[in-house]
Amino acid sequence: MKLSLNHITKSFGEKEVLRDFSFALAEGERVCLLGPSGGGKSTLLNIIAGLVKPDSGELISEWERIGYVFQEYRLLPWLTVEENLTAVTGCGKEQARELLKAVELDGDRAAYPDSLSGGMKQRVNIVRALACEPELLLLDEPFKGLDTALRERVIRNLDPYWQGRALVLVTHDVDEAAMMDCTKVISFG
Amino acid sequence: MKRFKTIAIKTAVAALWLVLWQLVCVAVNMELLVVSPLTVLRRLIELGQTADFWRFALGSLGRILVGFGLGCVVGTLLAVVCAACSFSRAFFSPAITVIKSTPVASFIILALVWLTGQYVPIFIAFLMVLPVVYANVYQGIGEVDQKLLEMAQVFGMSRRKKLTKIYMPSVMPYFMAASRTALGLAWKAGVAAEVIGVTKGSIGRQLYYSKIYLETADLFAWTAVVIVLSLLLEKLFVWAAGQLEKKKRIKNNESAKRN
Repeated sequence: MKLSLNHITKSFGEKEVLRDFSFALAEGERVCLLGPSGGGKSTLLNIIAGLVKPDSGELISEWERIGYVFQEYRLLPWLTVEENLTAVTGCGKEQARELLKAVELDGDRAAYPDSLSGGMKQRVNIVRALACEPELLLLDEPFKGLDTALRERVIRNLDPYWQGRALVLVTHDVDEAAMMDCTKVISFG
Repeated sequence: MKRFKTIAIKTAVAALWLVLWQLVCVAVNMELLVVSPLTVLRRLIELGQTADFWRFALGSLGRILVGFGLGCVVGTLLAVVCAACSFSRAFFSPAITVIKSTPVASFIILALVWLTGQYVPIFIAFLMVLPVVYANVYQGIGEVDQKLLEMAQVFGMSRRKKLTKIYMPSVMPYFMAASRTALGLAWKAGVAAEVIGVTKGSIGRQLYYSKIYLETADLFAWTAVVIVLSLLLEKLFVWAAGQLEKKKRIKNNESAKRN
């Protein structure tokens, strides 16, 4: 296993969001965490990404390059769309353009995030995670704000980029788990 | 139309103040105390035709700008060090408080004891700028969006990239606001230092001599020079900041069109 979480517990104040949670992920494996808000799914992603420390338990990860589609966009407002990919992930302009084209944003690469709609920002958020050529992808409600048709096109167009990568998808929508070919679904909450 | 209206209002207000000044001048009726706007303008034109006028004005401007620049650099570096290390913050905090609380006149007298004449206005301008830039930049660093820093951590951004792509753009508005305020402070305190220190080849020295020799027209004229230069500096600063922003936007748009 490339990633394993053993007996993880995490509380925020009085509220315990993860209790004795164990989980493992192999190379190329796709897992979906399904459940309502506040169940600890995002906290789990943050623990895997190294942003939150568990109160107890063990995290073992052999992956170094992680791509994270955050729930909030977290784009740098003073950089253009293209710069948000190249400056943050270190990818080349060519690669950034290919990715932006795949999510139908090739005409907006010189735009600043403030001038984009929520759905457009979300697509930048998605391709930024792919631009670093991650070994592991953490997707926290990645298709939020995209209509059904656009969501399907984005998933299809980015298919070559999803391939071969381990992936943890957090969603409320069971259809997304199927579209992303998740082989394991873990219910939360 | 709106711009025209704004200009018209500003011109009318300026004219009203000039009329008020003239009325005060007529009421006092003693040129030794209050000179008329026309007399000041005439004296300014006379002064402007001499080489010394420009030498004094540029001399003061140069010295104060050097002090301002030093204050900006040291204030920023100090803020970075203090944000990175709590001991540094505890160590420098009393010094900053002392600088902020001490009357500028005390520092000018002390500076006259410590330094030679030319350096006094530089030092005073520096002291005025330092706490303002320090406080604002420090606050700016503290308010950098933690979510962006987390994002940078996940994507493995280097320290240099974090500095140039996250910290610097986040702190820049704080730095610009501080610099704008500090520029006015540095200018006023720097000229005050020149007056008290009677700095050679400076506006302050001319103000001092105007007072000694009871040349009220000169006193008003040099004061007008100080005010005009202060306003020009501020306008120049705002314009330069706007140009930098515009240049960046144009560069990005051109790059997009080219590709």
